[in-house]
Amino acid sequence: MPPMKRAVVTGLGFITSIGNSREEVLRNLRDCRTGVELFPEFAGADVPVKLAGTVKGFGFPTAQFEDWSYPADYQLTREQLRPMAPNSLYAFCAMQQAVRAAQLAPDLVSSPRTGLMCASGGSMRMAYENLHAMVTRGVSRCPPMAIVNSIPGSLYINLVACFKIKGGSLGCSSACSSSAHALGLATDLIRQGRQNIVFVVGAEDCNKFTILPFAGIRALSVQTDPKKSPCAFDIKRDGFVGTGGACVLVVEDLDHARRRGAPICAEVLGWGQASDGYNVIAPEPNGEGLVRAMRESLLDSRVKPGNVDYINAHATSTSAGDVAECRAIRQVFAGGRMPFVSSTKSLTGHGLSLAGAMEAAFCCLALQERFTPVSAHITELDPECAGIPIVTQPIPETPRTALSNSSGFGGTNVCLALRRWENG
Amino acid sequence: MALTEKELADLKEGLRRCSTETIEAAIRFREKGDLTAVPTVVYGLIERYQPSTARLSLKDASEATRLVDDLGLDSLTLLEIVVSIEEVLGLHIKNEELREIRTLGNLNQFLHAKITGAQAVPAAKQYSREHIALVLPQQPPFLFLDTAELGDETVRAEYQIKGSEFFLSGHFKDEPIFPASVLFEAMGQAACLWVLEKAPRLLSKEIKPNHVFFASLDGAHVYRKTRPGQRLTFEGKLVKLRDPVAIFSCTASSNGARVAVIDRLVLAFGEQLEPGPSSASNGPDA
Repeated sequence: MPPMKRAVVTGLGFITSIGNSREEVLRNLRDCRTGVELFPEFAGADVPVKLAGTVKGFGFPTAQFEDWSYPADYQLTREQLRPMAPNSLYAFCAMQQAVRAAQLAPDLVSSPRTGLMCASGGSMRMAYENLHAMVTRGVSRCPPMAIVNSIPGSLYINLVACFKIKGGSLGCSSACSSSAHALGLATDLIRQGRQNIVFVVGAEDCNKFTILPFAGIRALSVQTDPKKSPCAFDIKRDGFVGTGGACVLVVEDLDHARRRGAPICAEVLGWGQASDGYNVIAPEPNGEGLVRAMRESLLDSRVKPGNVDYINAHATSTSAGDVAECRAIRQVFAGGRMPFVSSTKSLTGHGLSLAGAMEAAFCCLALQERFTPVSAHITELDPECAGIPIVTQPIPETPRTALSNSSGFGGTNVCLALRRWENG
Repeated sequence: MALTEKELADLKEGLRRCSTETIEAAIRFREKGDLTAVPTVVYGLIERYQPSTARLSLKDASEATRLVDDLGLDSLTLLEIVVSIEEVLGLHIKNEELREIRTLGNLNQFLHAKITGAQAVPAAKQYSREHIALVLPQQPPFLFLDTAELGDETVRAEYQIKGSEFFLSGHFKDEPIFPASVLFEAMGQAACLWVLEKAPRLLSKEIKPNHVFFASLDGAHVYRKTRPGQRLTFEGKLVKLRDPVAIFSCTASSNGARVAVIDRLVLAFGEQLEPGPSSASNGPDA
């Protein structure tokens, strides 16, 4: 078997609650500025949840794409916009950024050697509107785009057509670890030499249809002050705050990237995945699944636990989830140097299927720009987190090797390992 | 009958982003049954959905304007328009009915028939190049029809001059011009298609594909040179059908400009092929 190839990240794209460009996201991550605010969609007296990590510069007043607004930097034709949901529109914009950042010529974007790994929960809102039309106005009134603008596959369906993707394409669906899975699969495709470039895209709508169903299991924070919540690892945490948007990572074969003189942000060393085998919603209390995912990832990456500098935790700011993850981290790194840990979800909100890709992209920024992201809004650490160096204030240490954790419903766990790019 | 407030609201919702004129026409149709309002509604909806990249604007359109090729409506846009038409005019269009609607004229006629309950004039049957090749004895590289449609006494066919036709490298050296003889051949093939598909039923007689032959042509003229890239339209009209001959008058055009005509094209059919040119070309037309 030929030696495995190496996967590097050569481009990033961001449409997030903390910024719609690399520069803006970097500034807000460094300055610890939240993207969470009171969400007008949740203003009603009957809505117990008030906060969301809002995506700025986009408007979706109705489900009809002709009413939507988006930043003037992006142009879409009617044919491109027509089959989209908000998540694919966010992703289209993030893709354009990533393509530009990676300096990809059109023939490299649309090539049999370039693939697309997507992750989205689909558009609950579009599904609702489409089915509402079908049920109340008759089957023949079902909007023609009803399937392509709503199912979880909607994201790859739209992007393949918009960017004329010719390599492998897939929509990953594993709840809140979906886009971490997408990045893991993309890394394997590159390392096995099956593709030269793979776009990894996580995207999620940001509206009541995507976020508020989580109120049914009391998983959402009911805090109304965006300076206080979300606050992962804090004793006062009361649930997660939802967000949407899109992030894109261009994952590329190192040799290919070098040959074309591509700008390299970081290397994806490897990844691991494992399931709790426990419950549909609740995490295994000791994070056993996550322990195995992290160990798999370290093994795959040939990284010793003591050499991990930073973990971007899944930590959504729920009571059970944060504790299980802390127990898992303690178990994996017991007896050695503990990595710094933070949850960037305390700034952005929890992006569901988008979270894994967004946080891996944040890790790329932290590695390349040499800073450790802070876990915001912590005033009193939960004693359950004892023994873990959670980054509550800016620190001078700069990570060289980072892990990014993601867990999802059904007890799915993914751990990605990334390293700063130094050998130019 | 006046529309209820809800019906009016639904109607306006269905016609969002359409002109006031379109909305008023729809109300006129729904309240007073004014049939003359229907084309206004249909054109209004097409205009609202038509992509800006279309090569023909609706105001320059005619009955012969093709929805897909000329107005740039792709299949999904057509569906959007159909769903809106159904909603606004309050009718249902079946899938198989949709298939036969190619031009604005088809659409107007179809809707008129649908609304008045009149017997719809069946749209001309459409043939693809593959289908044509199954009927005609002529085959590539000597088949000069890409699409065809047959009416009761008409045939309309199209051919795109590709530039790769084998004879163009010699006709002429360094200047490919579609030969006049092939223009006449193409018109003959169109007429032959009509004979094979229509004549057997009219004459109650079986006609085998390889039993149709060119007999004569009179008044053949060519007016323009045509070159690779140009699209040729052939139109044939049956002048007379009497066993064993069919007589047509034919024209060829490109982009509306006359390219060639044949005043009188005679095809003969049947195993006993002795039509006698005099009886075919000089016989009484009635």
